[in-house]
Amino acid sequence: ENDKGTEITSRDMTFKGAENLIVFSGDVYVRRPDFELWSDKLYVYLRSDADMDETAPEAGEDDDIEKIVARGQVRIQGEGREGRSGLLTYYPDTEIVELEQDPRLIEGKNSVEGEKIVLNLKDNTSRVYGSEERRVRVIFHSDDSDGDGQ
Amino acid sequence: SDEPWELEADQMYVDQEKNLVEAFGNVLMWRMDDYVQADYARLHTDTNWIYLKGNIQARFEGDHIEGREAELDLDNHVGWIKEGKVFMAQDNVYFSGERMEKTGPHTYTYEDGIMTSCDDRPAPWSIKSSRGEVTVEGYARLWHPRFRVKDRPILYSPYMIAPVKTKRQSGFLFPTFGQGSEYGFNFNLPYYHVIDDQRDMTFYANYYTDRGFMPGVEYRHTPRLHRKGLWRADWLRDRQVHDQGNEPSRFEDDGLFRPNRDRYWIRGKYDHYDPATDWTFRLDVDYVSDQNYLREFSDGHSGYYASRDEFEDEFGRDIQGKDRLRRNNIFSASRNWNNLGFNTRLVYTDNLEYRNRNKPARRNPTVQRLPEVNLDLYRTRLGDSPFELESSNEGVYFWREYGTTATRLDVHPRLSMPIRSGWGRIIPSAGWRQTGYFVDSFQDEPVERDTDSRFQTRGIYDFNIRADTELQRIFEMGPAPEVKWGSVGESAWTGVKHSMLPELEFDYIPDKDQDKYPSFDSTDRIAAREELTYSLRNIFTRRLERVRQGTDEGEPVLSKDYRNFLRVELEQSYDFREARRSHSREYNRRPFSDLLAEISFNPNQYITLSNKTWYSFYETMVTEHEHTLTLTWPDVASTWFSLDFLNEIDEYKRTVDERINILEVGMDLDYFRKWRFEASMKRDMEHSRALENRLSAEYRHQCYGFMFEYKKTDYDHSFAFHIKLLNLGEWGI
Amino acid sequence: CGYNFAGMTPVDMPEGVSRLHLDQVNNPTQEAWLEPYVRSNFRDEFSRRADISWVDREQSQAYIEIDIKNYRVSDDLTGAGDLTVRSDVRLDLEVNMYHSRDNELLWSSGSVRGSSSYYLAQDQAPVPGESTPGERQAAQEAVEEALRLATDRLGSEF
Repeated sequence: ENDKGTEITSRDMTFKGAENLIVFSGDVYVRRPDFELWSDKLYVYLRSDADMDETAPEAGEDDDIEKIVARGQVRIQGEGREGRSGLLTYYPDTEIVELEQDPRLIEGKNSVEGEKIVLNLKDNTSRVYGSEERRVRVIFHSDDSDGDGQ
Repeated sequence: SDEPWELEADQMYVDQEKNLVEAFGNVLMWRMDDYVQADYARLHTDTNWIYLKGNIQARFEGDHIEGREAELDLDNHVGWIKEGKVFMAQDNVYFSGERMEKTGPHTYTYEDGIMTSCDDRPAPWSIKSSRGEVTVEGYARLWHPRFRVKDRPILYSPYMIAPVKTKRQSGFLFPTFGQGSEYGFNFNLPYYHVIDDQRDMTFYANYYTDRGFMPGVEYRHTPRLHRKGLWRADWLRDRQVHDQGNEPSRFEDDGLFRPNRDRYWIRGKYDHYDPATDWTFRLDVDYVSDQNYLREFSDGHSGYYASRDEFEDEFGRDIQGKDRLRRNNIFSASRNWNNLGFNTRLVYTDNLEYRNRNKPARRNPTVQRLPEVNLDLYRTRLGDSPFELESSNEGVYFWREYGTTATRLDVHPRLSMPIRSGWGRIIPSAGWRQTGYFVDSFQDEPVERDTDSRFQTRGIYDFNIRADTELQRIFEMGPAPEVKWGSVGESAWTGVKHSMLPELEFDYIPDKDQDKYPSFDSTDRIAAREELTYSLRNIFTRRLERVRQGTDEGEPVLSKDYRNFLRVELEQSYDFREARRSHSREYNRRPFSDLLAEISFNPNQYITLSNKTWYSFYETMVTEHEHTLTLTWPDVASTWFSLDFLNEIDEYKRTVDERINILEVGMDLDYFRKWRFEASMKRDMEHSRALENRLSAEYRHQCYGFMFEYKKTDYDHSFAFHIKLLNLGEWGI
Repeated sequence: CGYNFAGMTPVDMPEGVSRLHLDQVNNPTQEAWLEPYVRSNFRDEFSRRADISWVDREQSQAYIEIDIKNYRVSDDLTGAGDLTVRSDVRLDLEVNMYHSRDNELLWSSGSVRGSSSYYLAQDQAPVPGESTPGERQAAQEAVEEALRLATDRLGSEF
């Protein structure tokens, strides 16, 4: 695989040519240079004009994939950070990852939760949105050396 | 600490590269009791600095912080606040300023800030200063402070320190004003200077129009937990001299004059306990320039009562009465070993009669105890025997300017054998006192003294037997209140126990002629005694049963409360020596002493009565009587009446040639909110003249208060006025 | 007539302790005579009410600390010219009993006050070496009263 290549393994895979969709299910594991991903199910949406070669399990060039959607105990790990959610959507063109359904971003002892977390892998930023019922929450540790009060 | 912070917001933006978290909308960050609220927050996760903006509300280690904009270092608890307001809840003090710095836990500096302890706005009083610094010791240093009343500046000072901590009562210093017929108009301005959190000084500029300027200084230091010192000195160059014949009436009849202009009073106390060696050192200093000083300058913050009360609060011991002519300065060192007590003292007694060209100093007979050493065996049991031994032993070197000086050793062991049984107790005890005198030099001794032998010794035995028992009976009273929800709080007396304690005591000391021995203190003249004392003590204890809320909302429960509400004691003694005294025409024998009846009655919080009366059967009259009745209406008012009476009497064992009969009546009223009125009247019933009438009114607002006091005595009248600021220490007497 | 000897049914001491040790007297004053006097009087006074024996610290089940909170000699009744006519001695103290093993507070008398007074007119002529002998006697009476009041609070339940 080239440096941009995506390796996906799972128990089984179905290809729905009509919908330009490949469905992986059962202990899905995705390995890419910039992150790894685990989930119960994975839906890879291909561009309609892509000259899809059904036999090759690895999808073609990135520009062939329109978006990847992972569902169920989604876990994404990259550059010392880990994201968890019920639902994850990844757009290779913009390198944007959207985490929804109790999304959580953990880095060392610090963690962020909210209604929806949008990660921008290109410039390494993320945006967290809250809602009425679920506000954005960050947990982080300050190492105040002198402890809390004398 | 390792507790994590939690940050909540409507929306967040995290920039991994720049280690930056931006939070927008209703930002709330908290950890345990500390929290921060703002419209916007930018957190630098690497340095843990947080920038806040808009409606900032924060609570850090008990301090409430508000501001428009702020930056805080979550690790070191420091930062700055724009348009900040800080409320230190622990001391109930507010600071606000254009720009405030939080320089550490409970420490702030501010520019163009205001300090006050008033909750309401505009603040009745506040101090605006160009710069202010709240130190870790809990003091506020203020540069160019302007004292303002309702935001109108009325007082300025270049620099000032005010204690923010409420513990230190000496506190912020507001001048007091007063007027008195003996000293004219008085103005006392204190200036408080803190050295560090263990030491502070207070300088007093005290001025009397008729007497002059009286500067004073107070130094307090508590270097260690078990070490504490408090020193005061006041000095006056008195315009008035009360020399030959021009003393005010109340100083006339003591046969002394006051020619000196330099008038001063140095007093101090120092306690030092060394836990390593278990030694305790104590020093008391009380050195006054003349016999009238303490009586003339007894009120006000530089006066006698202020120092006496402060000493008693801080050290648990006070100083001698203000008209005592012999004033003790004592240094002592003491230590205990399980049942041995060692206490050595240097006692210098300054006799005011021999000061200022009154009596000639060369002939001052006042005895100094330089040193006195006490080695006491505390009462301990001898093995398994029924005997107990105790012994108080003292060695003293008596020195004096004029008169015999000598070393005296006094040993006084005492053996006792307490016998207990169900019917009561008998405690016989016998002691032997052996006293040895090693005389340096005889001087000014009467003819009956033995002034030849430099060593003299005296032995006297004493014997005492005491028997007591206790009889009890319980009188059941009405039933307890019914235990049900409705009756929570109801209570009733359900029983009274009467304890009766009869006691007999016989005391015997043989008669021994001691005129030939030197005489320094009461140990050198042991009077003969052969007296039987019989007494009956009655204690009445009430049992109050009250329906109380059960623990944690459980069923109501009945609780018992006991109180010794009444005590009646009767005591009289019979003097066998007096019964055998050779008959004399002038005084016939009176072996029976007065009957003492003592009552103390305190059934509840409303009434307190204590009464002591001595009655002589020979004269069929009351010879002495002390009586105080206090009636209290909680939170409204309380009044008290006390009568002190000593009758004239002339008998062999005592003579009192002038009757004393003094009535005191007083009342204080707390009924009006924030106001407290006190009035008291003292009257000499014997010569039917008023001795002292006192009236005071005190207004207490939440953060300030003032006190007005008027006093009229049989020799002067005076008034005093002072202001005190809550939390900056109460000041003024 | 219904009265019985208290000695027959001695006070039930907290946790039934009977071997006590008088451990410490906190004496903030400069009066050297005070501690021996308090110790000697307290032993008799306390054993009047309770069936106890005084033992060394090691054999004791509980130990006693007497804390003299303050001692005041300057309360004067003054007559004309504010001159002292009668002088009062006043002493506040508290007796605390602790368990010898775990130092737990078993009983406390709470603060009690003893006071006595002496008229200067009745005082013997002041002997050169002592300010007023009357003061010592009044102080002793104040101590005795305070210790009595403290002990009366032991076992007052019925």
